[in-house]
Amino acid sequence: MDFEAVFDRHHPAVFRYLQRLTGDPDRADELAQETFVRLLDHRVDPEKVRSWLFTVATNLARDRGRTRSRRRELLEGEETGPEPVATPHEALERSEARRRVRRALDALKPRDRRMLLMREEGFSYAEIAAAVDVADTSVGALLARALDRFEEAYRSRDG
Amino acid sequence: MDDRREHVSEGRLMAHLDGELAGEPGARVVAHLRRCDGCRERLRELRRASELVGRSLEAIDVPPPETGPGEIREAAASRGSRAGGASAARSDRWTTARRSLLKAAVLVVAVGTAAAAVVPGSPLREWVAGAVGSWSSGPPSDTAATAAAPPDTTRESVSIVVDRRAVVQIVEPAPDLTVRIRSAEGSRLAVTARAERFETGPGSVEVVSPTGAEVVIDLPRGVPSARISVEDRLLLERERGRQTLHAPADTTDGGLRFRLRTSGQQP
Repeated sequence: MDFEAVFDRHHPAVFRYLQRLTGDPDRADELAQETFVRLLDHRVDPEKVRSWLFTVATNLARDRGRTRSRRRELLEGEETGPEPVATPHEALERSEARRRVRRALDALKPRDRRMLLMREEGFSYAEIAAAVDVADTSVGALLARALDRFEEAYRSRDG
Repeated sequence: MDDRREHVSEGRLMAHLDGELAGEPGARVVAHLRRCDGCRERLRELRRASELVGRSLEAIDVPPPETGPGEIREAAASRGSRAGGASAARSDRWTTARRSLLKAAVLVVAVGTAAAAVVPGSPLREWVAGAVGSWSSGPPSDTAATAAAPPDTTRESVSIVVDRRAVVQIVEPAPDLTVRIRSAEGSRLAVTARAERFETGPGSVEVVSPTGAEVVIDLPRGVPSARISVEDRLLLERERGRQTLHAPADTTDGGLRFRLRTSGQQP
């Protein structure tokens, strides 16, 4: 397997997925790096590498979130990245939009959040089912409910 | 399925929306949608929610880091992984081979000693006796030296490649610690200190139990984000290129110097 080619092809999507999942670009960066470090130590079928990467990334995000030490909490950054200069009003609107999206994502069960984000990355129902350990035939219904819940939380005026 | 009397399940509507229904099941859903206002409306709702999710997620996206595969290999190598530490593995094999050779040499000498011992008056006996004497007083091999000396647990420096963020955390410091932070070129974060150990991760170095009086940190000036702290005490923070000191520091030639005492408090 050509590691460099795999990295170039999949790293942006893995990072994007982790950043959406965790809400923290710096943590997403660390988790994405760790995901690819682990790829170096495993033999993965090239046709399954994308699913493998997202499964590992998901597990790392879940596990590191549970065992995060107090010291590491000092290192957590806010969900911001390099942004173009904005007026205070624009900055406020952007901040409010981010807050609503995070609230909508947080309203989902972790499994449903992962499913929705994997769907956004173009995974098939079979791949999503395997990643979150549900029946193929259940994916559609679970996604439909997740969409409803996301929209409801996003449009809610509370919080 | 009687398209005129039964609705399509949400799961099937969703699968249809995502192009997951092919062949006959897909054709049946399409045929039903032509006749059923309720299911068409539900499909519209799902499509609207799907578009909302797509748009809103883009609003929270940030540009990906400029990490390259080279940094991943270096991170793996610094942890001694199989694939990333090829040079370390070769070094280990050489050390193992050399130890095996020395063990064999010791065995040959031992056998020779035993043989000489049974031949009274043999010159070989005297020579071996002399050699054994010198070995017992000063073994020349690395094997014996390694066995005699305690392992060196005092590390002095470590450096890692950093990209968007550099973090240095100093824990369990000695009293009266000085932390010196120097601005560096390139992308390598280097930390120099006499410490029990260093622990590294992507973009981070933890200095555990520095025993010396000073920790020197070479922080690349091009890294946009950085945090340097001693236990819970934040010394320096850099965000989007703007640097803030959270503790008093002297400005020395090419760097900053923080003098800490006991529990990390300033003198």
